[in-house]
Amino acid sequence: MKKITDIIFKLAHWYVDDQKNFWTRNFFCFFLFSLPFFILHLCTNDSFRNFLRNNSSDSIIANFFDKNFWVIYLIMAFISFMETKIHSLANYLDKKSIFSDVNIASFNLVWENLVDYKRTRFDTFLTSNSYNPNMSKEDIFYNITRPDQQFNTLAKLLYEYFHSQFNYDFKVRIIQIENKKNNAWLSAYPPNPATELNDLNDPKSSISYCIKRKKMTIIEDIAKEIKKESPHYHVTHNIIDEKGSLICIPCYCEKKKDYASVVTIWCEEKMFFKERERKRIQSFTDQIESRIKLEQNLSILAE
Amino acid sequence: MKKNIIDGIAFDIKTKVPVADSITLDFFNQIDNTFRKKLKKRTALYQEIFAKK
Repeated sequence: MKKITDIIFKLAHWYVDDQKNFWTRNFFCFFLFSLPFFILHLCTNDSFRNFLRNNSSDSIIANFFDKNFWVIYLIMAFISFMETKIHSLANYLDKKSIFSDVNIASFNLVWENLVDYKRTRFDTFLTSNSYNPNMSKEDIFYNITRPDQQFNTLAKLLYEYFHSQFNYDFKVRIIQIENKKNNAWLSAYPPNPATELNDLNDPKSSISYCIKRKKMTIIEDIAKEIKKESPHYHVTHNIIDEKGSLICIPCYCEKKKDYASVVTIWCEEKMFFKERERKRIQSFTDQIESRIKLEQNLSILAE
Repeated sequence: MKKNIIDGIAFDIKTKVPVADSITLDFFNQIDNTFRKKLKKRTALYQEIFAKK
């Protein structure tokens, strides 16, 4: 039953999301809407029935149309009805989605606070004793940019946003990648991650998988994932403690021509991040990725 | 939390995670007090805006 509802949900989302697609808009919608009317027209058309009788030896199809007119009519009416229902179901699901329009819009508070943090750093530097006009440009650049601290602030703000807005426990981790391996922590909030970086280099880990796929990875239910034959999750703790859901966001670096970091957000609630909400989740993660890329470039410049 | 300074960046010795400096920590404290309130207000505002549409 769950599989059937999943298929209906996916179909509904695909149908609504793909309304912007050229072929869906111009061909599929036209076909779907016109199909019931076209078949009803054929059912009620005498010349079509005569054509079937003349061209079909046993007239089974013609008789079927004659005898089952009302059945066909009801099926067609049902298809038309379902089409409108699928549309409203998708709209309903979007409103019920955890990542609602309101949540997506209110996410800008994270960026507002991040800019405010940057302003505070500038203010503090300019007004403190550490600043003097004869300082080298490198020192000034290092003091005002501090990408290491920006990573810390970003991790904290992401944690605060998700925790405050959704009332679950979250963990935000930002990891540096070098030669497709986890090289160093860039930040973690809450601090003190229990996982060893080497464990995350396991080919089975979600991070390795997301770098390999070169796109965001969603683990809907970790407990379910680790039971799979080839899971995309490396168990580092007691297997019973492994629960919740996870997303891994790979961040590409133009200078290095490779993925230079990965952001992971873990939620204690299973199915918090859902594959069928990928597009909505992407609206959050695209902004995170963009910010991380900026800090990556500042880190390279600071070196 | 034990700290170790490498090239101006403070790391936690055990976990090797960069540690927040004093400006960042002040900011964190400020966030703890205000972020939730701000987010509540902002969410209510967007709910109102989206409800009108």
